[in-house]
Amino acid sequence: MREPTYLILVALGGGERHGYGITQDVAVLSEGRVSLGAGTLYGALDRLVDEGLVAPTRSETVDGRLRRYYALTEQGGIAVRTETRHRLSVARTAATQLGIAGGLARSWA
Amino acid sequence: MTRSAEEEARRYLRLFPRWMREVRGEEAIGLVLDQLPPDAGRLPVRSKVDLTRAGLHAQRIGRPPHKVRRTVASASPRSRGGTVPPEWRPWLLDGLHRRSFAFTCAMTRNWHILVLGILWAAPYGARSGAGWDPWGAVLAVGLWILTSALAALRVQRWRDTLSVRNGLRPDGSPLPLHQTDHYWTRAAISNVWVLPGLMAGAAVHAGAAALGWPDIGSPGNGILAFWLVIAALVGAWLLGVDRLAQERMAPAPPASPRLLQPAGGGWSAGMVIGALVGLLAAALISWIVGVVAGILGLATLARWVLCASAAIVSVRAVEAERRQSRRIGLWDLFRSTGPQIVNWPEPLPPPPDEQDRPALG
Repeated sequence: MREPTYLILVALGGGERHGYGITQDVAVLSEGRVSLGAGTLYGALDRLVDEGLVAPTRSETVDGRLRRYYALTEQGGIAVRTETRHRLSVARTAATQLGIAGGLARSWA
Repeated sequence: MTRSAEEEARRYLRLFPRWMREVRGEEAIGLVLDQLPPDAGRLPVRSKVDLTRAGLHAQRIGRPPHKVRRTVASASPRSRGGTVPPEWRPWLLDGLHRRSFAFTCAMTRNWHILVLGILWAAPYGARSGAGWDPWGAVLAVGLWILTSALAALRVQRWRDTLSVRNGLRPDGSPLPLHQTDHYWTRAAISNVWVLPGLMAGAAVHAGAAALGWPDIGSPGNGILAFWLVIAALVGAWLLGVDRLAQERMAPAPPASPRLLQPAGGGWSAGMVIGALVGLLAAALISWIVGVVAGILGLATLARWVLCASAAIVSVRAVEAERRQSRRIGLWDLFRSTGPQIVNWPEPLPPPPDEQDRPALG
């Protein structure tokens, strides 16, 4: 799973979001490293909807602009948790191997 | 933010496939404008690059595979084609109500007219010593475009077939479940390519004769005639392979499909067409023998018999098909090998979310 996709799923893990909300959350989660544009975001959302990981929930119009809300599906929730465990495991092993994070790395075990 | 930024964003959105714009366009515009600083009058370069890159990517992935396009193009009430995988339903819905889509699908469906037209026209170029006569190719292309345009003009049955096969009404809303049983014809021998091929050949010959092109019957064309027949056989085999791929795309029928009624009837039409096809085959053989053996009189006579029998077979078969509302084939002579009408309830995927996939009208 690519990082922008993962971050979108994590952002939706906090509840339903519209497109702008997702980009804001992704920027916060990645500490400003990942900034999603409209093209990238909706390309990814389209794919995630087709894969059944995300589903549109409702839509509203604010200041004449359409906002559609998205949420994780059950399958999406499982996928993002599995990916997070996998990433944690890799990070823990890497931290131990490189001698960074010290006891913190061992305490995760 | 000014109106020009929105217009600029809409211009960049045209890079996306039309069906994707209809589904996601408005919310993407909203997001682009939300991301702009309050005083921005134009789109930043970063947004332009992002929209361009994503649009080109969407164009690439938004085009269905060849087999999906083929099954849509070849859908007819008498065949099993036309069911597309769920992920391509928005693409199909977008195209169904555009006449240009019907035209391009008809061109895809009629490609054999182009190939057969060129094959029939090739001997004239060889006979005139040019190796390749561009006017023959122009005539074949013109015939291809004309037949496709005519097919696009009477498009409603094709649209209805595609809508029903994908569990949808023509406006894009889902059909009630009790209306989703499909009736399809299980063809034992497919001859769908024969009639257009004959008509293309007859038209090219008639056009060539009207234009006073050189006589096809000459000893020099013997080898060419041989390769023409080989090419026709290879073409027929390729069509069969392609048709098999289409059949495999459709969901598998149940082990014991319920047989409603055997197709058939029209013995007299079958006999007449069978006799004419026999005449056509005899004329073709006579022409090849005459050309190869250098008997110019026989080759010329056979050529005209070939043209006339092709034209008569085409007209009689089209008349019989219209009268009986079914495909006429050689199986009309051997009924046990013919097609059967089978009732087959297909498992349908869940209908698209109406809120997410707007109905097209």
